[in-house]
Amino acid sequence: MLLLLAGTAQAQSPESLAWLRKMQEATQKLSYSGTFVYQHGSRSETSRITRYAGGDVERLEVLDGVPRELIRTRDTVRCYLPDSRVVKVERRLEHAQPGRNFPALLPEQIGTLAKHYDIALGDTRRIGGFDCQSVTLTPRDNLRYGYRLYADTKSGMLVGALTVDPAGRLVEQFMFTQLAIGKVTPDMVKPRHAAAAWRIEDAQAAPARLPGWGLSAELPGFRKIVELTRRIGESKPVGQVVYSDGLAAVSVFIEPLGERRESARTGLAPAMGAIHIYTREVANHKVTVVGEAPAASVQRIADAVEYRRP
Amino acid sequence: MKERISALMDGELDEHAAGVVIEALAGDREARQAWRTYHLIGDALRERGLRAPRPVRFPRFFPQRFALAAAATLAAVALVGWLAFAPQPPVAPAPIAQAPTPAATVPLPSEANDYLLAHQGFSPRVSFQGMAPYVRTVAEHREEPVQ
Repeated sequence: MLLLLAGTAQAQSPESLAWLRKMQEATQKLSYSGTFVYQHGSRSETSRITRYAGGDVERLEVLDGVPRELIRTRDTVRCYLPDSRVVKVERRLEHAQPGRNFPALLPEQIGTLAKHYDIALGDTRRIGGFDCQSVTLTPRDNLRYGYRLYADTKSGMLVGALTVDPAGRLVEQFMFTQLAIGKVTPDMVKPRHAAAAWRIEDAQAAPARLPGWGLSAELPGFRKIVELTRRIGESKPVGQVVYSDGLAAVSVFIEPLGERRESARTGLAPAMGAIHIYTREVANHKVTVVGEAPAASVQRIADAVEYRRP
Repeated sequence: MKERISALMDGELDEHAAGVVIEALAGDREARQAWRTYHLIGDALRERGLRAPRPVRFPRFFPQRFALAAAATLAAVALVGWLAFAPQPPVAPAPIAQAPTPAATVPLPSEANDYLLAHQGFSPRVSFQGMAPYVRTVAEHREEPVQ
């Protein structure tokens, strides 16, 4: 029995945790520029991503479908939509609350992931010209997805990431088809559009308490990491509560239905890769739960949302 | 230009050359159509199943040189697919089995992309992957017919 317990506790090798740290460090410290494919179901989309580590600026340009460009700086994420001439602005709250550890995992938190995932070294493979080492994160229950992350053995840069469901089927994958590390200049992360006369939709996100709102039962492993108010598009203020197990996150959006009383249709929307969206009505509010977790987990969180008069 | 687009999809271009093609894609409708066509071909073939690749026959109107470029693209798609279907480690039986009753299916909320934008910033995945997860949005395709 003791041996069995010891075996469970030792399931994740120090090497695999070291690789996760290496990936995380590379993501933050390296400048890089590359083209990657995001694939789920029969859909695949190609995007270009560039990070200029010196200025902590990152640019993502979606090359398929409706043009879209996102620029992330230290304190904001801006999403440029040239077709509708709109810029959506999200302030990054993680820096507004010093001492809070979200969304980025701190290196010491990586060890706590092992509570919910069995972390191990996987196969080695060449992807896009890079020799890669994989790390597998296999969930310990069926409440979350599993992951296989491929990192360049030299730099630690994440070159490919696969998400699999509890039955081992592929849910979605990200794969670089071309990647250059270093050689990024500040002008490579400037927005393509001046956007001078475009409409600005500022989410006006601000940390807040949402009195009375909570979960009647938490989903095992998922704990509340932030509570805020914000706008969705041009809506009135909407509450957002985020729960995470350290790797997957689920957001609960709480929106007053108002006097028109357009009721919210209860149900699950078609999956988008690993993302599920579940909507229901609670206390004259529309509750929309969005998360990269299996449908049953998203629904369980949604079903547990309750309002108690404070 | 079409060969260059295909080369970009295959990851064969260096930093500078890739930048030139992307600029062209942004400003050239015809180039964008080629881009989309290549993806459609890739998608169609992927639906046929990757485990048993078959010889690809291109329609007669498909010029030979594009066929070669597209074939190279398929090799890249096949690589991606092959990685995906490699055997997965078995998952331990779940200790928690209270699955909720199956939900009704409803359409995606019209604000789905706004919810996603609002959500992604809080996903710990960005600490491993940077902004890449932000590509996850609802498909919206502009009315640009593919010839």
